[in-house]
Amino acid sequence: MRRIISFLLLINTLAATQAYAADKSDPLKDEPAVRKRILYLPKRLEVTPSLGVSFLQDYKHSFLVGARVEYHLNDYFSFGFSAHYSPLSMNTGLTDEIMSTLPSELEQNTYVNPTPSKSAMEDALDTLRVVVGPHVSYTPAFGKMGLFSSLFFNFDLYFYAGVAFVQFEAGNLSKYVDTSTDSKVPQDHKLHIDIEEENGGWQIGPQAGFGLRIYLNRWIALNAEFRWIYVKRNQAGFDQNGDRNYETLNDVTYEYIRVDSKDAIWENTMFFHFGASFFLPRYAPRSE
Amino acid sequence: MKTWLTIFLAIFSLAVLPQNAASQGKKVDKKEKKKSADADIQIEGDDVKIEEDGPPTTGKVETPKTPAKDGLDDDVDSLDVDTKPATKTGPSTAKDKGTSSESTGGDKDVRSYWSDIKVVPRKLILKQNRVELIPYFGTTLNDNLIRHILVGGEFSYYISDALSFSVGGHTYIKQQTDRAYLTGLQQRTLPTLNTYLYSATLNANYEAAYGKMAIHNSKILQWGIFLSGGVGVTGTEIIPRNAGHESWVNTNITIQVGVGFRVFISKWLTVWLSMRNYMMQDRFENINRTEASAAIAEEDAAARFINNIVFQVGLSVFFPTDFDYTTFR
Repeated sequence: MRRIISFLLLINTLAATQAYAADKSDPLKDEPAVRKRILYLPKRLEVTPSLGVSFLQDYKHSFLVGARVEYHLNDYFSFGFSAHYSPLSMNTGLTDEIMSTLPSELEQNTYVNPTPSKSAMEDALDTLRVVVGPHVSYTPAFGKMGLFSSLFFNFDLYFYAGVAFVQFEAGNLSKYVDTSTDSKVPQDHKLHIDIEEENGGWQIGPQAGFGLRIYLNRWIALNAEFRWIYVKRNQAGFDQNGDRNYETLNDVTYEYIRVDSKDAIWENTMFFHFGASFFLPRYAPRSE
Repeated sequence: MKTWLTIFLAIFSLAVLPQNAASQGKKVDKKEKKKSADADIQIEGDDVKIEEDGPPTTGKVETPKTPAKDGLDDDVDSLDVDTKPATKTGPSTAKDKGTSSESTGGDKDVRSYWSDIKVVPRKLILKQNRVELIPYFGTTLNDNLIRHILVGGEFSYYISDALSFSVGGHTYIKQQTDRAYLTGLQQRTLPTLNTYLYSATLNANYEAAYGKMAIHNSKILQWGIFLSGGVGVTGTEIIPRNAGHESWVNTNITIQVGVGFRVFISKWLTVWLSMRNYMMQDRFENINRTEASAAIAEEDAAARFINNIVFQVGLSVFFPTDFDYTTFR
């Protein structure tokens, strides 16, 4: 009898232990990783004035000033619009390098020697002026970082994609008009001045990027952002496709390089933006 | 009588004890369903203090009177144990229990139940006295006319969790861009170009920033940002503008500075990204070169300071692949 009782007690003990263990297994499964965190994004409007600078450009760097406005639907998704203007641009090292090797004046006969002058080369360059466009954003990650183990910040990381409308200002290169004579017949073949320059105007293309917000408090954050734009352009006024215009005057056929919109090619244009994000309303609640 | 008493006790035990165990589980489930953060997140450390805050009534955003140690609101404190002193290592004191009981509404059973659950991930990798092998590839970034693909590796030894010394190097594979061709064709300028052959440097690396981030508030990734500096050599070779001219090779003293980022995958594996500037005084073909001989042309070479900015990406493997944590959770 005692053996039976002991056996029953043993079974009971095992059952109790098993029940306890089952309840104890991974109670945090499917639970959020972070509780009581500040909800910086949901249902808030974000306004981010920023300064930007292009990089990895071949001929001209552009400096941008503008802003991004964004409404956050929830923790992860938002939509917005950005607009930036470039009041200032700067030649790259490559441009300076090329210009240093060019003559100050065009050759007398550029059909024989089509080397452009310094001003002709520079006048052929386009300049980025305006970048605007809508986008949608996705913010998958947030966290906390420690800098030198002494400064700690909350941050989040976001990606975005959208459409960019980009305005390029065409170079100053224009058709050559020989003012030394009344005759419309070219006295000398000024090959590079006869370029039909068309590398300005509005272009449309995709834009995408990612950024980092570092929160200083509940409604102000520092913002750093990378932006990639892919549009058709012709930075240096090159004749990419080799097509020509032909004109016959006095039984002489002249060949003109034709630079037009067909010479534009899809090119990457990239920017870094640095700014400050302001959130409205200023109060941000905490999660459960 | 004794036998009957034993039988009675056995039946009582069978009937009651499993129910107790089950009810204990149910009690916890109820707490869990309530999503009571106080019950599950705060239990581990009294260093996790979460303010009770509500919307401001005056229109002003109130700041806590006693700011947290790190100056933030501790909203992601559950990610933060590693940057704070180690948690208590001994048995809980009466004071500890009292405090935790307050945070869990005085439910001592729940407190004892949760007390051994670790909700805070530890630092995934301890690096001190370990070596790291980083095979990587990359690309040069700042030359419009000639691009190079990098293939190389780096070997590091960590003297502390933040500081390491390394030796690394890579070889370059050149690719001239369309821009180089068009520049020559239409701007009538043959660019003076050198191609990189190799770079090898001795480096010191310091992990300046460390952080954790939650992906969709579920998966936690740990990452670090490191600064790097070093000295070494870079081999370059000129590309003659005239195909009939001879080229020569330069060996340039190189200073390297950079910044990198890594994401920790396991105790021995990380994804490694780096942006580095290899700075050197390089020597180029003189623009007035007429001599085909490399020996003569080299004497007239034009020196120039070069910033060779590269982007590198690789996987880093730590050896030994396993380690023991030196502190308690």
